[in-house]
Amino acid sequence: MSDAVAPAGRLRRWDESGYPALIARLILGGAFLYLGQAKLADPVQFLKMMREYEMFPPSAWGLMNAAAAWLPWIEVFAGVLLIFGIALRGVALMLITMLVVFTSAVLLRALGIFGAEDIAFCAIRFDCGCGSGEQLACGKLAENTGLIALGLILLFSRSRRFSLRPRLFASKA
Amino acid sequence: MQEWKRIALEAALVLSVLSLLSWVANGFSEDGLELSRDYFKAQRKPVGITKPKAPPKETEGDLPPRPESPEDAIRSRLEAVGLRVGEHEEVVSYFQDPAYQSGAYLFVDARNEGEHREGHIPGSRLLNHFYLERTLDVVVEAATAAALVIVYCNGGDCTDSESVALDLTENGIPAEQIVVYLGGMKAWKAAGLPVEKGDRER
Repeated sequence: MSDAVAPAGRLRRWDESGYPALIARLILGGAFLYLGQAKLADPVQFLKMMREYEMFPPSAWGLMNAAAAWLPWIEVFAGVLLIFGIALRGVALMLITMLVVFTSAVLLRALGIFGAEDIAFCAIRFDCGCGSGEQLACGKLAENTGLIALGLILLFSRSRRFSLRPRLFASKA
Repeated sequence: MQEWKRIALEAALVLSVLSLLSWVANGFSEDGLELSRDYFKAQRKPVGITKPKAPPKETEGDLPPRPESPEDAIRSRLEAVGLRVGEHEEVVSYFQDPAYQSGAYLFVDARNEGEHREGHIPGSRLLNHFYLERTLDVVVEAATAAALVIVYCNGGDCTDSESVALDLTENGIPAEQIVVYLGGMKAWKAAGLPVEKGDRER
């Protein structure tokens, strides 16, 4: 599998050192592990928070329960996989998808508040239920953007250094 | 191309396995959620009840009409199921009534264990809607013996007292014997009334 052209060469060598991917996965994995366990400390609180997003119609309470029971744990498990270096690019793809959904949900809610109240966008603060408590919506959005960027580094990195089992399916190395 | 297919497959596999593990872990966890329980049943508008007649407000400028306050919403939902709201003064009078000591009135704390431990209305018993079975039996027993049950949570827009009031009716306590104290712990503390800390021995 050949890469693009010359300028990519340096980037590639940098990636092959293994450090960018290592740092990305430790931060991303650590963040998910932390935020997941913070939600697990009070599952009911998380369920209530999730309900505030009104993502599910009230009649779909079963779906909401399932989602609220699922999310904290999958965050913890995915965090652990990243830290140990297992299924790296697959986990990265999954987490990026999740982060895009969460970030859109937080953004929509912040925009809702912005539309209803006379307040500067970056002065809006609320508890997004993310596990980090009440904080500025702007800060949360920036944080998530950073996490998505780390996910992208992992997704595109070909490095397999410092990892336990970077890919689940073996293929021609 | 082959490589991206492999990554997508890996993501799908990870998602499936971890999802399964997540629900299993939730099932085994002591504080796990019950997937088949409709936790917010009380907060849904009862069927057949028309919205309280909201006067068609003439809005000034382009402000959207104010929605009803959370407290009003709780009030109308409670009334729809035959429960009533107890005002602050009324609730305080039950607390100060000498009959309170003999169990004529029962205060039920609808918040969670941590909040209860940090401070509750003296003599009240904990009944957490989300983990009902933990204290349901003792509370129902005490409630059956009492003439009136006063349920509270934190006040404001908290709906746990509403849920617990409904739980009590579903467990044999007549709705007429239940009062929901909407001011809750917030109003109680603000009035400088006594607060008890710690767990109550059962």
